[in-house]
Amino acid sequence: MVLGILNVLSAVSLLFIAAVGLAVIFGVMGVVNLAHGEFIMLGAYASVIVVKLGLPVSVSLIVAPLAVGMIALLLEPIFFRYLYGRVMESILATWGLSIVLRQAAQLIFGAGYQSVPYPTDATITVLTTQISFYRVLAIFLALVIGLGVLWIEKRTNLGTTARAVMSNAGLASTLGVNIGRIYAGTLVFGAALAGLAGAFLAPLTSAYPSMGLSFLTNSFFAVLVGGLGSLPGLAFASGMLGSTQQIVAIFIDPVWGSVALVIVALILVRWRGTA
Amino acid sequence: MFKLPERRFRLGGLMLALSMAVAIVIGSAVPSSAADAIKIGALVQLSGGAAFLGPSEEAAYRMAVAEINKSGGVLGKKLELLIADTATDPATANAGAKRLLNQDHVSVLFASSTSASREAVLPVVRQNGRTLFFYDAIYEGHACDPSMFVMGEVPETQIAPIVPYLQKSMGGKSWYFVGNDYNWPQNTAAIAEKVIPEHGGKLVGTKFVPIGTADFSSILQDIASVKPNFVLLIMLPSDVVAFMKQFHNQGLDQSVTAIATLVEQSAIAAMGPAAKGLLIPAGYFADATQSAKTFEAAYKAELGGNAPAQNFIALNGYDALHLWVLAVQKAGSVDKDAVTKALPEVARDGPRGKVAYSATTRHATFPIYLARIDEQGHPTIIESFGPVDPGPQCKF
Repeated sequence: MVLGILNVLSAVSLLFIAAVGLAVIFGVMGVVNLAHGEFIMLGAYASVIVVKLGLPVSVSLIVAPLAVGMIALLLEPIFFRYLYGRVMESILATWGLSIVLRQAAQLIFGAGYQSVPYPTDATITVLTTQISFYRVLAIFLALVIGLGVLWIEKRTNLGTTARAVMSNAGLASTLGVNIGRIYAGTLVFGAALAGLAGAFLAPLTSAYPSMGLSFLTNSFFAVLVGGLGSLPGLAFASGMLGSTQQIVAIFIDPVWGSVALVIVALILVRWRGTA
Repeated sequence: MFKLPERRFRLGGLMLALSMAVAIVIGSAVPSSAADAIKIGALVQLSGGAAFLGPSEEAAYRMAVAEINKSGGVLGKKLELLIADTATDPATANAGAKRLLNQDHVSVLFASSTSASREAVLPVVRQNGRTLFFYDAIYEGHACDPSMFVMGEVPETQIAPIVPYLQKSMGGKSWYFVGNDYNWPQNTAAIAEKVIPEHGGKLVGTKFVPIGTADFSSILQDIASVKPNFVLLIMLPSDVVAFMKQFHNQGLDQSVTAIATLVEQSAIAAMGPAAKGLLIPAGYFADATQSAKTFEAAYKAELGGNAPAQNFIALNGYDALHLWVLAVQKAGSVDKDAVTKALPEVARDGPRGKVAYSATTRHATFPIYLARIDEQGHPTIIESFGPVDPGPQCKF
């Protein structure tokens, strides 16, 4: 029972970690970033490089967000700048970007699977069965990210400005806010969160060019259900979707877990629409 | 207002002209073939989801062609290999097959592809009607077409021999099945459900997961509670890697033996220490048998040290091409019907051992080995089952 709860909580946390970057970018700029999964993939490859350089794998939790943030910073003036506030165009353009990034990763790193070791092989014994300590860490990391982003949003000058731009970009700009910089900063921040997610998820799976696709779908559902980039909404959505998927997976089958996720997402979106 | 469509039209025209120019340049860059060469076509997976296999698949065909041309070619002519990328996409595979068969007029078509791509290629082969088609890949079994010969591991050859062997040699009779949710794992599950009880074993759990699953905690929790002796992993390599890493991280590999049927060297490397103890039933393991060693040496000498590592999946193409050549020599022509008749009468000792096609099932029989992966990720063969008949796959 305790083990089941821990597994559900860690599944919810993994979903939240994967989705938060997407929510941030969508919330502030109205850009549906379908290359989000590829940002996660790039974060995973950053871990691969860290390990190949002989550094401890935990270093990648710092390197990966920086690296992916840098890539987003380079892409901003030539790509993302033209998509702010344009939902439909952003869907099409970022899908194209995701294909380019996947192929680029295949050309640079090869099409095979690259290993990232676990930072810790420790297990925690709950009653008679063991659970990996890394999964418990996921819960901790999700809390840190969630509270950190909430703190930036509510308690810092930057967050206040970002929220001002979010609610009325035109008015904010007449008040002397440099919208371009807020947008660029948010993009880099959201991409860095995706990079962090990639670095954390890489030991669980492995790094390969098309790995982003599976993370994109679930993240997308969570952001859609959570509402326009609202962080508490995302936390709620991750909780609902992640726990439904996990509980159905435990009692029936992971395939039915995925089906249940879609059904719950539909119900929640419908319910939010009428409420 | 009215300027916009016009500009778009002009832009479109420009793009069209540009793409035509590119097509012409690419077209002219393809070397024109010598008149006395026999053209053969091969579809491989150089991009898309199965791109990790593509380079080794292409190299397997190139190796066979190089060997045949060195020994004088076929019917006094050299072979010329034309490669097309399926992009792991049925529509692209279909287009590639059309180009190879209807424009390049290849004498035979090979494909190392997914089943979905094979089904997309078959109508092109039937419509063309002049060539044989060789499907060279591990797959779910029971694909039958009068124009097609199949070589690759099927559930019957990978699961049926290992069940009695493992129950006897390692003890324990309870099995657990984890598969991706599509036809190959489902057909394998059906074979497992049939074979395991026949040998007094029990299948205590069957779970399917979506392709691309990254989190196996619910299944690992179930495995920890039902405590099977063996767990069969019938998933794409990316998912097997994720499973094995989490399986090992949770310490379950101490008490449960994992068996995977679609794992090659790059996936084993990606598992790192988690690969230790994994069992793989397949036709070929590099450096694990004498014939494999001989082949590896020749392969490196021919294609260089940087050639993509060979694996049991890609090697199906190598053996299929060699058998086609033997049949052509026996028939004295590349004519489809003559070669079809000659094919089951030829056999060859290749990197895996003796390989031959059956006339009635149109499927190949070749040796199957069971290998255990050690700490360094090297396979050691723990049992040779000899040539394993895939059984009544088709009736011709």
